[in-house]
Amino acid sequence: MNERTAALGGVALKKPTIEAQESHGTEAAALPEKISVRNLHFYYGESLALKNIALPVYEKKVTALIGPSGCGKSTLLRVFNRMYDLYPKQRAEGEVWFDGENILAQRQDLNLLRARIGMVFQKPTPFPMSIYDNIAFGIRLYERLPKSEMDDRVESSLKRAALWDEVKDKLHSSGLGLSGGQQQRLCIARTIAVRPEVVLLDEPTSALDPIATAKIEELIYQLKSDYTIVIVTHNMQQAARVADYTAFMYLGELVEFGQTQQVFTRPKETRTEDYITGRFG
Amino acid sequence: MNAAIYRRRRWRNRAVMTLASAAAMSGLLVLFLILGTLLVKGVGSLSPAVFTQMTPPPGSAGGLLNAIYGSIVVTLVGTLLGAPVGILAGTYLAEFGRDTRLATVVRFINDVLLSAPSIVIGLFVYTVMVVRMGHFSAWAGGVALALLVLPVVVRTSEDMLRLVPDSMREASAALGSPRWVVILKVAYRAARAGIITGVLLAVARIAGETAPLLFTMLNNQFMSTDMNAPMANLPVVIFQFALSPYKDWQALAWCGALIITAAVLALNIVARALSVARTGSES
Amino acid sequence: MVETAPHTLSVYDAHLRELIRRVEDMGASARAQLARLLAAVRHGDGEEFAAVIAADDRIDAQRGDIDREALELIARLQPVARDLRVIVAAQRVSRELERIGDHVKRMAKRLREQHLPLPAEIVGRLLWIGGQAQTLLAQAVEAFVGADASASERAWLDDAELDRMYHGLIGELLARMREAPEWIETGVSLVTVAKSLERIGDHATNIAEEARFVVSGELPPLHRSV
Repeated sequence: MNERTAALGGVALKKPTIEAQESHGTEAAALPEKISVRNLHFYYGESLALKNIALPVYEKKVTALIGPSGCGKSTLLRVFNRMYDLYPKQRAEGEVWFDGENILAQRQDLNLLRARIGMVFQKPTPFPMSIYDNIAFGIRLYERLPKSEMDDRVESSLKRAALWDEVKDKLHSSGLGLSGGQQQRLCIARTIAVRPEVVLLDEPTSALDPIATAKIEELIYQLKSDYTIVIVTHNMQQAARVADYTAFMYLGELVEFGQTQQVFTRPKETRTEDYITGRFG
Repeated sequence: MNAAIYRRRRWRNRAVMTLASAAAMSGLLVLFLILGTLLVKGVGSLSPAVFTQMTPPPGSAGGLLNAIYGSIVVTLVGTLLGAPVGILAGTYLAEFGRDTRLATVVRFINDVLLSAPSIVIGLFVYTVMVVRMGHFSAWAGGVALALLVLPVVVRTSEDMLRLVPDSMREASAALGSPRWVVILKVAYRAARAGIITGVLLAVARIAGETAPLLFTMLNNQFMSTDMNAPMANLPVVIFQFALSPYKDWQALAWCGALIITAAVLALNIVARALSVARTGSES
Repeated sequence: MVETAPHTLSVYDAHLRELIRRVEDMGASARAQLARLLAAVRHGDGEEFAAVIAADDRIDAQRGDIDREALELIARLQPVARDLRVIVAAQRVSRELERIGDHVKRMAKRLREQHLPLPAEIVGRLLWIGGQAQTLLAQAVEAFVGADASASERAWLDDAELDRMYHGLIGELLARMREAPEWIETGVSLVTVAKSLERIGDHATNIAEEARFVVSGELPPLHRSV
């Protein structure tokens, strides 16, 4: 792990600023990396969307990817669970290490990978079925549980997603009947019901009102004790609020990566400063 | 603001509005005229006998039982043959083919089939089946109708599946579902009401088709359940009876027309209700 | 902070609590320094003064921590309204506390140079003023931590009392200096010591004033009048 960190440090000297730990050096240096991205390039057909990305994703921390539209933040997120594989003509080169395996390898079992690295989307996507079945859907893919155990799993997932109290009396009514914020928490519950190790959040609150947003943010805070979280957000303030580490991306490059506190109080790169202070021209 | 320009624009708006309303009204008027005529001419001969007795020889009393039975059977056969193939083809186009060349070609051919005159379909089945087998049959009629059902179902299934947002497929895939689970458990589920609507509309379309049946199933004065023989059916009976000089046959023809129209109307209403329900919830 | 409803984002409350706790700690440090100084004066213990001087670094460090914490809070949580006032006020309070620490240090330096023991009369008056300053400081920090807006009025009255005691002491020192010119050196030193104690009272009043700012949102007045 140390070797890997050192390697990233080496890359950092060139272009992207990998500066995870300065003030609290000893604490951060010891952090294990759940995912390590190295020399990642990504292509949509012929066009290069990600250029030589190197990035650590620390275990049980929240890492935020920020940057203007089209900077590649969502593209990077969708590399982590190989979501881009659903579409022909999209391809990634380089290395993305996840628990000792390169997830970009051809032989990677995608369904298994996606069960271990869950994802929640911008628009809430409840399936057209009951709340209970929404949660059970993912569990049934990989486990055969007796009814009582399944009930427990559904309940604990909903509780973990802070939704249980709101839906416990209508588990068998449609998930589509919930409010936007509830639907999104349902999607989070559905994702964690599968017991993933990493949860990817793709602008999870951009379709929600401020109160629903605050609830999701609180939930993210609560979840990081058990999961490694990567969140893409348009909302810089959100990144500042919920993330431990923040990566600023621009035009397919990783411009700066560091502890959120550092990135938002004394960014090292002018481009980062210009973006987060609203001086982007 | 230039008052003259504004006045002219307002006048033009009013003129076009009037024309558009008139066009809509004339469409509605024709529809109501048809329905009205059918009701006036058909209701008179509507009686229990219509549903319990065979088509009569001229001058004697009778009903349409054999024709109604035949129509139901042949419509059912056409739907059962056409709809599953259509749904699968639609699934291919929406889920797998998408924008590939094969899919584009299939879609084009389907559109051609969709607009092919039904008499051409009838002639085709006549050549392929009736001539080869040496006789008209209910099977041939069913196949001809299936060919009419197919393009409608292909088109609606594809459209309905395409309406399922990709984010839903991604969400399912993101949980680790293999492709077939995504399609069977999520895409079909979300598009179910729409696909059923499409099938019902296809059924409504074939229920009144006459031309393809003239060349394939012909007619039968008697009650027949033999799929390998000609069978009576409403459209052809209406065709035959309406052209005849006999008043009682003509009355029965009106009655048959009313029954078909009512059935098609009912199917449309059910289809409409389902497509409204699609946006609602289910448990 | 006690009576406000919790934030949906619980970490927000945790951060704010932490900030307030730090201010409270820093207030306690400043008070402890003052108490230690006064004890040294009472016992005429010259060694203690050096220890008081050395311990001031800790207060400065605490101010640094509060600044960092406040900066992080502002950058990460985009506070508004009362939350914003709490953070801004906490920073200002930490400034006041730091100055109080500086005054204690300055007094310790002055007193270290004196030939002890001082006259009992003077020591008595110094301790009296010091005690008053100490009480004022304790109440001010408590008022800030508890967001008690009403405390500022009392602080002003107490500070006015402290001022009167201060002027009394100055009069006493001037009288002694007039009587015995050889006492002037010591007298001038003790005037600055007294001045520091009086200033501590002012800073404490400012702290109490911040409590009112947190609650009401009215900026602390520029000129004080009682």
